[in-house]
Amino acid sequence: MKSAYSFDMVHGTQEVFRVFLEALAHPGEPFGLNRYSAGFPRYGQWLAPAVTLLDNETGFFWDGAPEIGREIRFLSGSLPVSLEQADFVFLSCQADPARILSVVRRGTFTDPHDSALLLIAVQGGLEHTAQLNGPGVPPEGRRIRLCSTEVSWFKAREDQGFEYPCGVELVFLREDFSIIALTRKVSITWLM
Amino acid sequence: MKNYNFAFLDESSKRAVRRALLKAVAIPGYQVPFGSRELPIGRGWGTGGIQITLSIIGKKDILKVIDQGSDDSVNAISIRSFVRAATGVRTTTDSQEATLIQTRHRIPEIPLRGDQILVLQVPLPEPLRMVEPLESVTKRMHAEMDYAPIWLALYENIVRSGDIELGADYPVMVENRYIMMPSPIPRFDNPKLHKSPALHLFGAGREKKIYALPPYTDVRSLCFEDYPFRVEDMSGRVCRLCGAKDVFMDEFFDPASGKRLYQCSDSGYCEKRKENQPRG
Repeated sequence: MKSAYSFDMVHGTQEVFRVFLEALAHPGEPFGLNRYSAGFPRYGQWLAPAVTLLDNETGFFWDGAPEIGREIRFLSGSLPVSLEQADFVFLSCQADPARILSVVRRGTFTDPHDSALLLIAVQGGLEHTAQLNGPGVPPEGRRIRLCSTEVSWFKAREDQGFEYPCGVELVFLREDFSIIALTRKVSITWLM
Repeated sequence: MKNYNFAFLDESSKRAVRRALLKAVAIPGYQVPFGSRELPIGRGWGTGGIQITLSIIGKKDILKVIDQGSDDSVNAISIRSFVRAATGVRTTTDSQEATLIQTRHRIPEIPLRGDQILVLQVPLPEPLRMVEPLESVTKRMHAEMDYAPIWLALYENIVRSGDIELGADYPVMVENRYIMMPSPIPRFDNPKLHKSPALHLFGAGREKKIYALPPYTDVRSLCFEDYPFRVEDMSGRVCRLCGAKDVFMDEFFDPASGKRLYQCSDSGYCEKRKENQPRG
């Protein structure tokens, strides 16, 4: 029997996890996912993170094509749930940041870890510049280039005014299948 | 260990630990609860650190395991052998060569780089345990940043004895939000945590907690303006093996001469210095 996927569910997931770990440990720094997404014939950019992070103990929300949602469920064993309940939120480019961030789980002061991680597909040129500061960022700050969709998410996050330690983790999936992360304690200064 | 999964743990267990690690990195100093798994060693012998190591290690990693600074103690040798048998990864005693370092009670003398991960074994992760026995209460205290009792305990210590008497496992404030136990490293190693470029992961298997310090995190040892934090005084001590100064030393008593002898606690660092010394 031949598998439909060449993605290695043991070593591949370990490597994808390290990409996510590095991305969250170094907010704003891009890390490549493309070689792992190639392990799936289609939708690898969603399926590689899904099989790495999700299982039947987690719930996910997916706002795109139903076929991809079914594939995530089939491969990971995770159940599709509402946006308000999801541990992992996978979003296509059309999502409204303000609406999403107003309803996703943000944790509580006693259990701030009980919050969502959002994986958001973004498109467009990196036309905006910002500087990040906080944990994971060198003392002099980290200058990053952002596309318009990322800027709208960053601004929606600021508008939402999450009170630390409550908050969410934003991970942006770019067209070249690299990811950049924004953890909840990191602050942004706009340089554009 | 051909009958076991790569890195011993099943994939479901690794995913649970990995999810906890991502949250720990996102909330520096906060203790994330996790379902600590059974391992072929008893809880309290480094199972938290081992579960983290097994969950993140990959075929390309080079592993170093140290116990009280030594690569050669029973604990370090056993954990290194276990992980090597379960993964086939290369191991080393050179902290600069290692990509992943699991440690108990020390941080290597050579400053860590940004591409390295340090995994620390933690026996008691809760800094408020010395003032409050109930977990439900300490959780609320962390939530409300109610750290007055721990400051009071330090103050009472000064009133009683004239100084803060805590040795290893000296509590730190992380990003001005969470008080955290740095694991029983000597006070000498506390300053190494502040703004370190390396990722630090802490695992308490028996207490079922994981926490982390991302690179460049603000980590300050608790102290008062008039009672500043002080590390152990190593001045005047010279390693009897490599001649090093200003590093953390183990102390020995020589019954023949009646003298105190010192040698580097970090055995990998000491070995490297000896190798680099001119022979003759």
